[in-house]
Amino acid sequence: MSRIHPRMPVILHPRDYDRWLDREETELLPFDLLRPFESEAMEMREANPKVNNVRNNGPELLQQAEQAAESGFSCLAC
Amino acid sequence: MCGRYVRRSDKQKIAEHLHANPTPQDLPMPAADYNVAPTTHQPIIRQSRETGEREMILGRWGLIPFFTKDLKEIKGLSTINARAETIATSRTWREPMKKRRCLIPVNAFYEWPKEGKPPKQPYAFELTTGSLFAFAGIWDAWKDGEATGFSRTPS
Repeated sequence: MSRIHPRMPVILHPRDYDRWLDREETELLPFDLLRPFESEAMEMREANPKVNNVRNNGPELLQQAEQAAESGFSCLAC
Repeated sequence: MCGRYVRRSDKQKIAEHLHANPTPQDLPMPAADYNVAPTTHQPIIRQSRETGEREMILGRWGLIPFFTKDLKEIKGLSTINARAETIATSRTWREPMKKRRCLIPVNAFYEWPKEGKPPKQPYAFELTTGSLFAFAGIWDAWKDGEATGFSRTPS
């Protein structure tokens, strides 16, 4: 992931949710959970550049532009 | 780093997956949002002070520190992401990190390459399982109505 951007959002493992959410004051704050997620558990692909504009929305934003493009066709005539 | 993510699961699915109690208040939110942008209101999960259980609320993406006097003080998108190296020292993040941490439900997120000139090719990241997951977030409450804001924490 870091080849796209040097900083990535912290993704928590479900086993750490309770500790992260705990509101008791403690000397042992969960700083240790602020680490990169296993990149082999993630996948990356090109997204649709339409996502650059916040007014665009819909499942096609997760697809490559080519797949998301509307396809037109014509019949051949002789 | 830029900020945009995808929330494909509706509130019922999020509540089930993250074991959050359905909240009494009605959360006005679309069933899915493929282009979640900063400063909009989004579902987050936190621990209820009263019951100790997880509750889902809507918060503003872009934490408003408790000491803020006027929203204009929040410059641009400066509070959408907290940085791990200043989270213990900065006045904005220190207190929320101690006792106001939250989960941000996410199905995918986008990143843009740091290098290069616009328009840049965006990339989408998901878990290989396709499952809903959670960003680590922190939240704070601000006096004037716009109660709760949150920020995500980059590693």
